[in-house]
Amino acid sequence: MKQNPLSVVGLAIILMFIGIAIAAPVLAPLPAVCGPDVGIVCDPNDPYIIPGYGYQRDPLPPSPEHPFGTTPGEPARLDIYYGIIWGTRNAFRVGIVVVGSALLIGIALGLLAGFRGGFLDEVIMRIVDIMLAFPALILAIAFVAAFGASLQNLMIAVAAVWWPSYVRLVRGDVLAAREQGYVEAARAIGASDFRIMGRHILPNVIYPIIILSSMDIGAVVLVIAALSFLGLGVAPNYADWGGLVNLTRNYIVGQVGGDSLAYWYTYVYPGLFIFLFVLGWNLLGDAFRDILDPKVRR
Amino acid sequence: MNLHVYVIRRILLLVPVILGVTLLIFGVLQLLSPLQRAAAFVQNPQDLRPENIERTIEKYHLNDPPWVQYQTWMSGILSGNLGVDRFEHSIAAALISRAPTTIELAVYSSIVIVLGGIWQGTVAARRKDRLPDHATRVLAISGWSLPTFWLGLLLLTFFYGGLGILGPGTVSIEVGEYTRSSAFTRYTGLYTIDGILNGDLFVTWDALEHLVLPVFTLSFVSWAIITRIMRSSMIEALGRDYVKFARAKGVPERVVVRRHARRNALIPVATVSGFVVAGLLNGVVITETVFARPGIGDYAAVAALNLDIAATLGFTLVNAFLLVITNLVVDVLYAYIDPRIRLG
Repeated sequence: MKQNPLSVVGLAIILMFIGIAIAAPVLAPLPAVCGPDVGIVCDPNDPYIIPGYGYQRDPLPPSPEHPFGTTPGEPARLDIYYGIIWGTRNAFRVGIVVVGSALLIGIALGLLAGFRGGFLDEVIMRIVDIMLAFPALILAIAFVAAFGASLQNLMIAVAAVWWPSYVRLVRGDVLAAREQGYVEAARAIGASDFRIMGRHILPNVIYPIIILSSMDIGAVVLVIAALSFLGLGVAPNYADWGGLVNLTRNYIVGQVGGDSLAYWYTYVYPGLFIFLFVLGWNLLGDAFRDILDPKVRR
Repeated sequence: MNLHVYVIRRILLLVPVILGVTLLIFGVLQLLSPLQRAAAFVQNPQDLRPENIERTIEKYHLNDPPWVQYQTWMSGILSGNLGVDRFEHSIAAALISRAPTTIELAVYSSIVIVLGGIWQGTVAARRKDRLPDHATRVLAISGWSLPTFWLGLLLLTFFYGGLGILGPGTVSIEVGEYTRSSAFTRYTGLYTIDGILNGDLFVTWDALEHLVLPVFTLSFVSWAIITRIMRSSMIEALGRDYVKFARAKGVPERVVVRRHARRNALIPVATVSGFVVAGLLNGVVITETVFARPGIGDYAAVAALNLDIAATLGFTLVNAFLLVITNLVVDVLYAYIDPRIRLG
């Protein structure tokens, strides 16, 4: 940490976002009353649906009621501030679920491939090669196009393209660990393969991998945001940063015949939060990579 | 093992990977029922009638056993036929007609990324742990963290929306009309090259103006990787004995850096460059969408939005081939540069 002052900045950013995610119901509570008579559309059971105000769509600039302005939703004006606050929760949820599931697959297959070796190793690694033959975003686009755009499919698609690199990582470490004295010792006292993998090798290789891969949460959020921006993500009024930018795509040119930068707040704020979130993880990850991965240590 | 044998072995190793790629794409298709796949071809309410859906399924052989479908599909691919999109247009023809726009964007971006990365990495390595190095680090991590679409939108709204310059698209409307007229021959499809070949430099200039922002967007998010690899391999090279020796015998520092250290430091950069350039395809989809450039990335994005599965997967397949071939070329070049590789 001392050697890399930027990591402190990264940590501060991530802690800020964790704070926002935890305090979301306080920072951006749902309107007390919703319904046609007050002109507010919201779902009291799902706070991730951004409340819509009024019956028009064109964006409104920042004001005391809407600190970041409003963006055109379906069918009403959506509060950008609300979308960003709850979008933080969504970003953590999506990032953790995708990295977590990719990691589970990666650890399971990497352990099997590295420890068992032989034919199984060959098959698993060839599948990994095939998966890595696709650019990640493009394969994810294909999955979403095939199975339909929804948050769940989006997460499945990204997890499906994310696991192969973890298999490589885990397998490499397992291959090294397999030759260690403690594995031989365990085998000598008659431990089963399963026990050796689970109790001896796994604890010795897993922590650096978990820490390194958790830094991918930022990268996952970036891919998800890109897919959402293309319109392949969440339902229109859902609190998702990329989705917020997608909503305003027809408005980015500004007012017709007027100020072309008039609607800046509809894309600047959501994009800024994506950038800061990913930046936080990357700054932190940069420091961890220096500490944990001797291959890139300076 | 000599170079020929190595190349042949690498090509043979590609066969299972390419076969696997096609099987994976085909597998994704097969996870959908014939009815779901027929849905992509629906153009109007008429098509929704049961007998018409039946006809669509019949027409595209969606109900055949999977191995028959795979065989038909594969024999099509081998003869360059990727099937038809939802408008019953040939996917291969659409991709080919759109390829020049994408090639233009990708080639210029690659040049900027590779040369820019090498230069920036060298600067950072020579001033290690001082201001230029820290600045490079911050810039690289920021670039890495920027959503491509957001950077593109900001640039587009600032320059085009605010200042009224550097608009979206490939060329301006008047130039576009001129290039479609009989006075202009499309030799390559690349506006910048065709402009020179026709002696119409204003076309080249106009196309370059439209390329500035997309190339910057695409490059800024990718160049960080080259910079970092260049930096670390340059630091290593600068610490080598031959560099110390060159300095000791009084070779000017500029020559030491350029001739002795940088040449050797470039080898790892060559490998990574292949991956980075191939990875550009990710950014191309977004960049073309933001800047309204009608390339293959834009085609894929629109196809995916319309749930046009055949078109999306056709594009995916082409991309996978490109990536696999790029890797092959990089490996062979690498073996050519560094003979130690071939022994493995």
